[in-house]
Amino acid sequence: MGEIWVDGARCQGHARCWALAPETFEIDEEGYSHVLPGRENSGDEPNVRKAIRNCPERAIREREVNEAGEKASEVAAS
Amino acid sequence: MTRLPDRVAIVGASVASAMLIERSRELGFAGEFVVVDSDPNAPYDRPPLSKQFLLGAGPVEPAEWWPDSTPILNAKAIGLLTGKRAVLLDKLGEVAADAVVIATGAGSIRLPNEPADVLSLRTAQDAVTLRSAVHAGAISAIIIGAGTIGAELASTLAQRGLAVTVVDLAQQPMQRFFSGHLGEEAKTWMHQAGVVTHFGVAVESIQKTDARWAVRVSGVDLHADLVISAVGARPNTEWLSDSELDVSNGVRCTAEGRALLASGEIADGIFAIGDVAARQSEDGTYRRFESWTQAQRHGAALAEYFAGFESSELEQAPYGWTEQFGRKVQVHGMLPSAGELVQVYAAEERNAALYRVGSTEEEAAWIGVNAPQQFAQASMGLTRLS
Repeated sequence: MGEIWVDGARCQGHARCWALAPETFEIDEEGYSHVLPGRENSGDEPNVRKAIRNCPERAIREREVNEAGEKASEVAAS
Repeated sequence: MTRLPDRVAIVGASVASAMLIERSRELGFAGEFVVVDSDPNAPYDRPPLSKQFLLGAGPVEPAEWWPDSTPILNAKAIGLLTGKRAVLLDKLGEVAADAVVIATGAGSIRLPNEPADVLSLRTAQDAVTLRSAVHAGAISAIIIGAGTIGAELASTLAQRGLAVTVVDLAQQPMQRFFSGHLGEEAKTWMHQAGVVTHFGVAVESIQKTDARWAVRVSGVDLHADLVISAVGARPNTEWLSDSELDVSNGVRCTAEGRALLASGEIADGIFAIGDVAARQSEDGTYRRFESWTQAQRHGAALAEYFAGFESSELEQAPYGWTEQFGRKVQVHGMLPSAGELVQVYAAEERNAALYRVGSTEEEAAWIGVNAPQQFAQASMGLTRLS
């Protein structure tokens, strides 16, 4: 499983991810979101998947991490 | 029980179909998707077309959310052989599949008295044409229709420095988006940006003399360099006229997205998602949404249906947003038009407010203006209650 991150260039501050999965996302006053430190690997949790699917900007992305732990490629999370 | 087809034909490379593909792959679908779209620019993001795109100079960017491994055939679907589950194309013959997914979206409604060279905004090409007209030196524009798209255009063009006039038969901006609420506030946003408004009036005629347009309302001609029609959208179902499907207002389908024949029976193996789909809701009525979020959910829900489990995607409250005159506007839930609107939060220094509409917890819906945090908290409460 990859690591999730919020693409700041795409996030428009809807704050939907925080509404759906506050245990993984945090927002600022304008609604812009980021992944809470230590929660990068929560991409498999149902609430987080729901948040990924509900992002109107598709801004929550997933980084593939290969066996060596290197960040091999970046793909849009489904 | 899994209902996984081996080969799925999708008509329309939309955000709904992207989500169908992604969610299907996530759930282990190993079959084939064949996607056709007549729009040479597909897939692309529509929401920016009325906003950032018109302010910039860059090209239409291909949508980053499209699954790279799925090619798109550039062809126009001209018919559906319903019993055979085959899509007829204008070129390349026909595509037969185990399942056909209709995702052709909606197109602009044109007024009966509208000359062909009046601009509108739906496709990327429309946006390019509009932007070229603005770059060519237009200094004034009349926008017919003040729904979310018309109002976004007014906002963007006013920001670009054009003198903008908005005309609508409705009594207020974004009447449908707001279910009749916040009319005076939205008018004020327009007026503060210098937009001239005419509400509750019909367009009597649209004429062009030399390079200048005249739009007649209440017996008076309004003049401008550009006229943009934004009176609404209707589902793209013309190509289904011989399909025997019920296309009275979009493709009528069950709560799962299975298309219905005009006879009322289910058309086996035919599905509809996105703006074109009129799905049966909990109260039994068939409802069509023109909504980005709802389209995404339709796609995910159909993938889950194929995978054989009960989807909860469409149990989530509707969510919509728009950007208006420097304001981020969000709506959560079905706004009851008769419900009382109460302002529950305000921060005037940043034009922020949160409104609750509806008196009971069950029917409460929310409108946020520049208040994403408060809005998210409120809608979270709603989600948790359900």
